[in-house]
Amino acid sequence: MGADLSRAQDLLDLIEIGQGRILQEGDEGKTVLGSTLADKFKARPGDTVELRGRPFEVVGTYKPTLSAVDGFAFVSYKDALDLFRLANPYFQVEDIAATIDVIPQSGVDMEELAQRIGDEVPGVRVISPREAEKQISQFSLIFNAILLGIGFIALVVGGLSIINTMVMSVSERVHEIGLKKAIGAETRSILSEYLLESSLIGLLGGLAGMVLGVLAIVLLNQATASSNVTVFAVTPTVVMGPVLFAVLLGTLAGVFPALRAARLRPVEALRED
Amino acid sequence: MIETRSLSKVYRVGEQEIRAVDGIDLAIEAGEFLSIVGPSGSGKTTLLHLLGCLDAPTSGNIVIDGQDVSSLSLVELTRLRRAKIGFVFQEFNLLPVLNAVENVELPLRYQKVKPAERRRRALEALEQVGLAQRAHNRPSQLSGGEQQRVAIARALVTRPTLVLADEPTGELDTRNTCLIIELMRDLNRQTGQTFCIVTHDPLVASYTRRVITLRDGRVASDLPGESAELACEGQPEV
Repeated sequence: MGADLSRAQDLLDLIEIGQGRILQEGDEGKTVLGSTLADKFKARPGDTVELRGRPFEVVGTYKPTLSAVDGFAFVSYKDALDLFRLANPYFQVEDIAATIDVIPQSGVDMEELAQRIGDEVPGVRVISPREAEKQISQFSLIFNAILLGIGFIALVVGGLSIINTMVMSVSERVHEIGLKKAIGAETRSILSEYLLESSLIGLLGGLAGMVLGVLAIVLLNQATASSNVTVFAVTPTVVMGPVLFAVLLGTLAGVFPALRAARLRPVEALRED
Repeated sequence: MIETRSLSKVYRVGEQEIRAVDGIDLAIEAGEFLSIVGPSGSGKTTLLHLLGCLDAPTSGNIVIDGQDVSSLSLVELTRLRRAKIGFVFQEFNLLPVLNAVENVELPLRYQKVKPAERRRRALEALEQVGLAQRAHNRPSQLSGGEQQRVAIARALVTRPTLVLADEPTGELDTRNTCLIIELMRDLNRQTGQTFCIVTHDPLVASYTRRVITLRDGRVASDLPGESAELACEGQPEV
């Protein structure tokens, strides 16, 4: 990012400096690095780094902000323009700016200011704070909806397969339940046997799923950590919820066929194979 | 000890009515060693299931030790079965995941007998059927005859007054059939337990002291058996 060093002191000072100093007027050929970039170059003040093929002296590094700024290298506007021309030889311009950040003095109504800039400055598109907020919240809304949709499908599919497995495994054993009844098992003891088994299977499955899920989240977060974005949070609800869900569903799905079999006359249960 | 009065069991298959057991009056005394024979479909197994309270009659009564069981709830029937009746099935019905002694322990577990006592009595029952040395084998590691002896031990371990056996030798060769029927006869003599054996096999029937023949759900004949002592003579010892 290039900045007009004669006027940008306030802006550059917004980010907390880690080592060295911020850019000052006349700092051509010098740079201050965001924390991620500094880590990547293993650069300290006084080192020289190469940006787009040109050497720059590092005069400072910023502390992490956990935002996009950490991946920026700050240079003077003049250097930035040179680099831009170097990268786009067919697009020679005198002056160019991709964005202009406006930092209002305190007490200024920012919506009104945005309105005035839009009216009075030609050739710019103004994004007011309210609009920026709307864009961000719209994006996160869509993102959340997609995640929720995937989660819901996984829940339904997982739930159905748990129910299917438990119903099958108990239904296959109606004969066994008939035998146990014939040799003196009461409905109650049959139920408690299968209740324990179903909930144990549910618990083991739920725990295995939880371990895999947390592992996946940790790996995903690690993959996105370099851009300082933590996409998924691991909270107690996220960890324990699915385990409880699996135990509950497994238990219910196992106990209902067991209850049905345990209520049959033993001879009817024995006949089923 | 058991009496049936006009005992009937009727199945409905579509429009057809099948009278599997059709008005049977029967009295079985304590300590009897009897067989129920008859062609397929004559109602032998159905009668046995009714006597064992595994099934409910359509009409008529069963009185066990003076108690009319038709009035009992399912839970009460289970308790009665647990206390007084032992079952031996044709297909053994051992649980494959349990070893021999654990299979024999199973009915005691439902009687809430303490583990140590359970193990002691189960080993004792296995000893009675001559399988003490196979106590820790799973059913899949035992021969058919051995599996059926485990099943008999399971039926005996609760010391029931009545043992009901449904074709206990149906899947066994002659040598094992002899072993099983002589074992049952000896147990009957030693313990005075009542044995009621449903069978196709004339050899088995010949060992019993009373043979009830069923035909079309009714008692066709009720005669003293041969009480043959020597039918199995000449069979090689196991």
